[in-house]
Amino acid sequence: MHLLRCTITLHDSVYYATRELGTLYETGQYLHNYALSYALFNDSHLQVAYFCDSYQPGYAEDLARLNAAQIYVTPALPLQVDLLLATWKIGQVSYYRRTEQFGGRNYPANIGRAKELAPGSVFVCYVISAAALRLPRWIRLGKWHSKAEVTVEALPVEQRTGPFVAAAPLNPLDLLPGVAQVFDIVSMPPNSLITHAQCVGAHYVVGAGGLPVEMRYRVPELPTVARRARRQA
Amino acid sequence: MSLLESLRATDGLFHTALPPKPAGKYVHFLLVRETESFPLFQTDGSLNVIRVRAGLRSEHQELITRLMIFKRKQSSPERLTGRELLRAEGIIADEGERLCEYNSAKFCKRCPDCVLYGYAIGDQGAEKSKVYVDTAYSITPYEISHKALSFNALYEHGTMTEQGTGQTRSSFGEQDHVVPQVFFPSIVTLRDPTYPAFLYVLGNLLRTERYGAQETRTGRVYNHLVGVVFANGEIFSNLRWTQAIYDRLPERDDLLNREAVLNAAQEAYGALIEDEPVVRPWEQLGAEAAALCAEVTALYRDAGRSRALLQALAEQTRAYAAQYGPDRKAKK
Repeated sequence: MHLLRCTITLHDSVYYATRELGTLYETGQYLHNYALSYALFNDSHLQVAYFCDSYQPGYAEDLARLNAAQIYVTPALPLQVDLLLATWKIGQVSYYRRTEQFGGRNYPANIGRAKELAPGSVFVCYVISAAALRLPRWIRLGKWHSKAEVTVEALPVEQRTGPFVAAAPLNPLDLLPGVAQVFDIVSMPPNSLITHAQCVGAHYVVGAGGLPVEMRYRVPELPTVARRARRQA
Repeated sequence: MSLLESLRATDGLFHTALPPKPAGKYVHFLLVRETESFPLFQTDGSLNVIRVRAGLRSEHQELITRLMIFKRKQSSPERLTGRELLRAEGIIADEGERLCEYNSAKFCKRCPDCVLYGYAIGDQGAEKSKVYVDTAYSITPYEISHKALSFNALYEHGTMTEQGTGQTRSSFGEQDHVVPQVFFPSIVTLRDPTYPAFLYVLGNLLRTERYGAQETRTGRVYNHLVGVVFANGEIFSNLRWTQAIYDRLPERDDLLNREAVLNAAQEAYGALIEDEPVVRPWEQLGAEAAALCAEVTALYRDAGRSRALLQALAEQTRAYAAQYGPDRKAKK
C-alpha cells in the first residue's frame, strides 16, 4: 500500500455551488472527495469525455475505475481558507442584439453572486493506492476550472487496530458500517461529509490520528436513475 | 519553410481530428497583457483585488494587494472576437440552419466557438471548454496601478445645468480605473489542439484589443505574446509566473518599463519551467515567438487564407459534433 499526503494550494479562486441561496452561490470550505478524484485522475484513470449529454452524474461508473485500480482519495481538510465575493453575469452580444432576460425552464438566471475560495487557500487530502502513483502537479478544481498546485509527500505505511481520530474529513458512504462512532457533519452535495470522526477498527497511522483501511467508493444507486430505469421497463 | 509550416509538419503536436476525451496534448500561450487606456475589471462596483505574496524569493514574502482580471473577463471578449469572424464567414448566423446565439439555449453546439470554448444548456447537454483561461494578476500593487476618475453626464449644450429651469442634474460620480501600462501575465491553455484550432485560439488572442466594462470607450489592452509551448501537461500558474517576474524586475516601485517586463517574463519562464515534470516537444520564446506571431497576423490579414482556415476548422468541429457530440445522440 502507498499513502500520500497531498497539499493543495489554490492559485486562482475556486467555486463550487455548495449552497444556493437565491442568487447567492456559496462555496463550502471542504473539498469533496469525488471532486478531488476527478481532478487528480482526469488525465489518467477517469478521462471524462468533453461532451456530456445530460446532467446525470456518472459517479458510480467513473469511480468504479478507481476502485478497480485500488485508488482512494479522501476529502480535503482546509488548513487555511480565505473567501472572496464576486458578482457574475452571463454576457450577451448586446451591440447587435437586444439583451434578454433569462430564467426559462432550461436556463439559469443570468446574474448571481458567488462566494469563492480565494487564491492562497490551502487544503490537505490523502491518496491511498495499491500501486505507486505519479500525481499531476497542477490540477483544475471547481466549476471554472481553477488552477491549483499539488505537492505530494509519501507517508510511511503503518497499520494498527483500535480507536483513532480520523486525520482527514471522511465520506461516510465510503466507510464500512460501524467504523465512525462520533462525528460532525459537513453538509454539501452530492453527499455530506463527516469531520473530527472518532473511529474504531483497522487504520493507517497518520500523525496522531489515522485513516480507516477499508475505504472505497460506494456510490449508491441514485433514485432518479432507478425511476428512469423503471419507467423504461 | 515558414515557422507555421514546420510547426504543422512536426509529429505529435496536433491531433488530426478533435478527440472525444482528454488525450494529453496541451499548448500554452504565454501572454503579458498590457493596459493601454483605463480599463475597468470589476464585479461589484469596485476593481477586483486580492492580497497575495509579492514575489517568490524570501526577501519578497510581504503581502501586497494586486489587481485581478477574472478568467471570464479575458475569455469572453476573445470568444466574441472569434465569433465575429465566424459570423462574417457564414459559419454561424442569426437565423436558419446555422443559428448560434451566444450564452443562450440556442448555442449551435457545432461551430468552432461552441466546441472549443464550451457551452452548457441545462438538460440539452454540455461541452467542456478546451480553452483554459486563468485569473491574471497585476505585477505592480493596486496602489500604483489604479486611479480614481470622476465622471459626469452633460446636457447637449455642454453643461450640467438645464437651460430654462437652471437646475443642475446629479449625474456625476467617481470610479476607480486601472491606469495604462499595467502588466498582467496570463497563460492561456488549449487542450488537444488540431492545427486550425491552434490558429483560431491564437488568432483570437492577437485580435482582441478591448477588455472589461465600458469597452467601447476605454478598455484597450495589448496582448504581448511572450511564448508558445507545447507540452504533455499543465505548467505553472499565472500567480507563480507573476511573482517570479516581480522578483526579477530591477525597478518595481513605479510604473514598469515594458522591455524590462517582457525580458523578466521570459527569464521567469525559463526558471519556472525547469521545475515542471512535463515533456515539451516544441517551444518558442521571445524573438521566435514574435516571428510566429507575425506569420499568424499575416494569415489573418489574408482574407482567402483566413477563410480557408475557418472553414477547415468548422468542418472539424461539425465532424466532432456528428461523431461524439449532440448529433450522435440524435442518430440513436
